Amino acid sequence: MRLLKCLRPLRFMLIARSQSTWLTYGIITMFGLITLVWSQRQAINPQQYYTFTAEIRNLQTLQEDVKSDVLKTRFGLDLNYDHLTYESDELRRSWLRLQQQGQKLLAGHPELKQQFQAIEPLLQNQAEAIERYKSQNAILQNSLRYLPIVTHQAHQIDVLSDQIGLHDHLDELLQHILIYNLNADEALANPIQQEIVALEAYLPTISQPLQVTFQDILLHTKALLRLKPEVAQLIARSLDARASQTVEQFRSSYDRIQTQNLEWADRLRWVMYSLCLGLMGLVMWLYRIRDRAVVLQQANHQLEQTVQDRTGALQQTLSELQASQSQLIHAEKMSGLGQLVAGIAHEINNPVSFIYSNANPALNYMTDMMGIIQHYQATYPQPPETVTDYLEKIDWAFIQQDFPAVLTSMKTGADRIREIVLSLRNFSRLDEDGKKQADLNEGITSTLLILQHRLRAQSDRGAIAVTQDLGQIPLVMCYPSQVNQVIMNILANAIDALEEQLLVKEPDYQPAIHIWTIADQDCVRIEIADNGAGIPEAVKQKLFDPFFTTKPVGKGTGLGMSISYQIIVERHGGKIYCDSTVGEGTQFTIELPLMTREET
Amino acid sequence: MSLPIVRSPIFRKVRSRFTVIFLLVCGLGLLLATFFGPKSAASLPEPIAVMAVTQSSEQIIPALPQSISLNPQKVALGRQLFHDRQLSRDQQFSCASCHNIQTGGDDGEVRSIGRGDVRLAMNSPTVLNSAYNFRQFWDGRSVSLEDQVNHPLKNDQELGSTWPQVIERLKRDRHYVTQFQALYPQGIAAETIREAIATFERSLITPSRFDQFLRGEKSALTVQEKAGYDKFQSYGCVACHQGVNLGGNMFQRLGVMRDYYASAHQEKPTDQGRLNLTGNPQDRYVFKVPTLRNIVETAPYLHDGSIETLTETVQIMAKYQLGQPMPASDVADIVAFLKSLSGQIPASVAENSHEVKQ
Repeated sequence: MRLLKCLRPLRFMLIARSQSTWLTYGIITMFGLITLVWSQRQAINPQQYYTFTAEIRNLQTLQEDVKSDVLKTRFGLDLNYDHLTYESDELRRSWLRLQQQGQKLLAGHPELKQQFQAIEPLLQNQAEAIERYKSQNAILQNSLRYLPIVTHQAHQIDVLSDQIGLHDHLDELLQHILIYNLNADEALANPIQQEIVALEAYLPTISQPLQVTFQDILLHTKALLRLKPEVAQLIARSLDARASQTVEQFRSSYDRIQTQNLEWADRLRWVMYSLCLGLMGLVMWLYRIRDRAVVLQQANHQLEQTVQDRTGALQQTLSELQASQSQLIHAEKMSGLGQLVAGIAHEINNPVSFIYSNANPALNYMTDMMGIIQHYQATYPQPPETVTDYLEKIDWAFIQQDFPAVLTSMKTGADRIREIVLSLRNFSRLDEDGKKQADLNEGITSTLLILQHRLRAQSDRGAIAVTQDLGQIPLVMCYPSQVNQVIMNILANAIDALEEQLLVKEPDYQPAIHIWTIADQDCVRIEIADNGAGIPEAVKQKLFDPFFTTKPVGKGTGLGMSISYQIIVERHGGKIYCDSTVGEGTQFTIELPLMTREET
Repeated sequence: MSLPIVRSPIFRKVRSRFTVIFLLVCGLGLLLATFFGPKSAASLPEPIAVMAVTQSSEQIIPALPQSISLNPQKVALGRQLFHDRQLSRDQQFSCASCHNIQTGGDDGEVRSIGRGDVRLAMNSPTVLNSAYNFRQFWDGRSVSLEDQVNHPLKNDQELGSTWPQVIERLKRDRHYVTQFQALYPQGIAAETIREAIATFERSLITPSRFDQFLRGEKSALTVQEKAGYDKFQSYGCVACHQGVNLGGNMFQRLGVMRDYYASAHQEKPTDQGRLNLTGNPQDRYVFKVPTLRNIVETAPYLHDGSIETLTETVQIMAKYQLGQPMPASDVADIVAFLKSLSGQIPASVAENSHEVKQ
């Protein structure tokens, strides 16, 4: 239970990891395992085993060859030692190679190593025996060959002397030597020894030359006795079966272990293959998951894109809606204002018409009445006192002089009222639905009239000079009230700009507005220029954006120019643009096509 | 798992990626295999057996081969090294100082004069035909010509240098650097220097009139020489001076039939022979049986150069080694025969010998 509790955080960790992370860990582990198995497998090098085994076989062959060579030299089949020497040397070098290879191969097998090390002294013993055999055998063979010769010589010398029994002894000796040579038996050496003793007894009795020969015979016989058993023993040592047996024993033990190792290597190979297969599977799995993740990510991305697009569209729709709402409100406001203005204009129009239309008859009547009075005064130069008093009281002389002026001024006032009313009607034109042929010059004039109060000199500044270059322009098919509204907006802004400029310019600065109307080939251009503050580049870019304003809060709606743009561009298919230099002034240009396309 | 995946385009993608991964894994495996795989042997092969050139034992003395197949560039390089005094510590001696190829492969001194004007312990054996000796040195302490090079090079009285010193000197010589690099992947190294010198030494074979005789050209020897050869055999000289090199394939004790040092000859420590090497009492006075080829050129004789003439030597051999009396006429015949053993290095081998500065 405790253990489980301890493991709990681990479980969380496990769950917390994603599948692909675990797969990656799995792949790394798998790879590590493969490397481990591979290195284990690599440690077993079959090539090494085979080379080593081949070398052991080679050594064994050489061992047998050397033995056969020893016998061959012994029995005169080989006349010299070159072959034996060569094979012995080969055997030595084969053993050196084995030792070199064995050092690594046998490192993990102490038992085998012990067996292996047991070989060396045996081989060494053999090699030593062979070397000594070569030396001793050479001498032995010489003595064996020389003894019959020297005996024969002794016989010949003996002819001169008459030592009885000497011949027999020499023959005996030679016979025994031949027998002994055939079989180096200890027992067979005894008769030779006896003959030596016998011959030595003769030595003082014989002649000088024979003595020398006898000494030679004795020398070689003794050498034979000494060398024969030694050579026999050396051959036995050279042919020692223990060396071959030990090598063979080692070989079979090694073979067994080698077979085991190779089997193990084979198994490891299969394990490695399986692990590789597993690794591939894991990699495939990982990539499947990765691919799914990629697809998912792509879908997600697409979805996000769509949402973003939709949001953008919605945003635009919203701003459009906001704009149109504001425009609607504005239009409604304007329309309300227009109705009000139109109503007032209409209401005022009638009374003013009374005044205006009665002004002339009133003037005529007054002239007539003044004429009558003058007639009376001429007829009655001395009027009664009351009249004179009254005339004096009312200051007739002044009336007579002032009355026509009063009437004239009333007429002028009425005239101006008429003009204003006309302008108001022109401006609102609400009574005029739809497009109609309109004179833009007239629109400009009436707009200027409406703005008269702003153009006039104010308490803090002089009047704004307005110059007009109104050309001969054709009537334009348009919504006159809307075009007027645009002109009004531009002019109002121009006045604002001039007022702004007045605050910073020198006293001799003359604010001015210049208006042109120009007939072009297929359009009518209205250009309104001022020498005001100008519009900075940043502002110019947003000039026609709805709700963009440079004016203090509450003063501007930020709709003026956007509405103007909408009116000119969208409703009339015209162009509106501005050209401005900061500090120099601004020029707005409105182009209205003569042939307006049908509004959709 | 199979059906929907097979249909899915993802699987196709996975499959192509799988192939890539598979190839990558294979590639990595190969890379690892080459990295950890069996390393190619950088060291030189085991020196070839000095006796390897001939193995014939059908005749008691087989003829020398008339030519020998060796890498001529290695022979040339070995010749330069053999004559190069840079191999000695004070750059005074070369191998050729004591083994003059032109004068029988030794220096004619009783015992060579080494560094510091010291007489060495032994008479210089000839380098000619030394490839046919089963061991090198009088006591046979070296099993190959390659190993032999180490001994005089390091011996303080001989060349007295060290391998690092020699290698450093040779590396400064651009000529050597190029030659070694052309012949050996490992360039200048102790083992490559040894191999080059040994290869040159293997080329030093001297086929003689006697070899012509052995090849069946009976007129190659004079009557006396032939008589000498017969006596050489019948006396049993050939028992030890046998094989292709007339010696050099066995050890033998000096004074095997009669004690050489018991009588007139004064004994020196070096006379102990192989005993000094093995410590085995049986090896007292035992030396390698020397070759008799070019024997007339290599006086004085025996391991210590103590015997001046060949006649004297033959007499000593007869007395102490054969244990037989030998009349003066037989000695003369044998000496005559021994003269026929002087040969010439084949022209193909000798032609560049003079170029080397000595």
